[in-house]
Amino acid sequence: MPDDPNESGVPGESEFAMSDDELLAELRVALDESDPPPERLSTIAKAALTWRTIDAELAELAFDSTRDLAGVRSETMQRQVTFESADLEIELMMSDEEERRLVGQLVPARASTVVMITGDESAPERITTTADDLGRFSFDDVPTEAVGFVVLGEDGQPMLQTRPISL
Amino acid sequence: MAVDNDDPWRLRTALDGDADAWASIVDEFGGVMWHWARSQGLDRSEAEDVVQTVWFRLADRGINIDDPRRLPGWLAITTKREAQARRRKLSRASPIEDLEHDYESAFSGDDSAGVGHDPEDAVVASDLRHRLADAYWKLSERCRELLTLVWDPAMSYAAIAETLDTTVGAIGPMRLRCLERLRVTAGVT
Repeated sequence: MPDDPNESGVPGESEFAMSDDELLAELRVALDESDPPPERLSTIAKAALTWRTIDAELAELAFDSTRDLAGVRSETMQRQVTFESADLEIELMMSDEEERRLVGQLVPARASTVVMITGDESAPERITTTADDLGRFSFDDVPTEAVGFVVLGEDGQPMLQTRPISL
Repeated sequence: MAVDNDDPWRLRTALDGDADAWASIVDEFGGVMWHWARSQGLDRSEAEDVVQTVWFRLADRGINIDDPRRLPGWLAITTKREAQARRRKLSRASPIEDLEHDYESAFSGDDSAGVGHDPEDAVVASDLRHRLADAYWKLSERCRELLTLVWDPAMSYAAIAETLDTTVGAIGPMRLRCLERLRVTAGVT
């Protein structure tokens, strides 16, 4: 931390001479130190411009309850799907049809940013959430139309992408 | 580089795909957006989601901002609306995490934070900052919000008034009052 001339001298003296602007500046440093933004936030924000739509190789639909469990009758069961790429799987399920709440799980578990892409290809909108350390995440207000999902790597670039699917 | 008065943050250039222009916007506003989201009473994980979502919205929809000079105001109000939307969902789902606890744990990690060359100076500075951060979280949400808005010179009073849903004339007195409360609570006379 650089030496600030205002903070040298008799302990506490500088506080008495502090103007409102100095106080605000000091508050900002105090909050930056005690409650700093997560580092990956800036990386992901910067990468947000360099990819906008799903255009890389898509993860394979490895499991789809409506396809693979056809004929298994359950009135309460929601559709569950799993997409898999070489080293990551994403499991998705609507947990609350009314709230359109979707829950998901990354396997193996990793605390990644997960992006839901809604809207048509010419004007996509990207909604993000962060999976916890156990790889769990959720989205609310999921549209009934097809939506795509992207898992971001630490560099903020897509590491797994799904084709649009309606859940 | 010459500053374009019609687009001082080079938003148009950034949205045309210029990664450097985009990165400098992220660097300039990323930190303050984080504190805006946190001032709304969101925990760290929720605040992260909110700020990320705002950046993606700017990348996807920023071209609709009529006047690029209004970028700071757009970021502030979009962050606030997104934070409020999250909070409504949280209040339906589960209580918000205890901010006090959150704040304590933010400090418990590294006691060496704030230590400079001269130990005595560093203790004074670090003690002051601890008290300021502590006092900040004891202020009303409206004061927290206001202080994190007025500390950024890029924010016009008009943009602050719009974000706080009040008049431009109310900002000055509010600023004085909130700073006074911060001083008293932190013991800075």
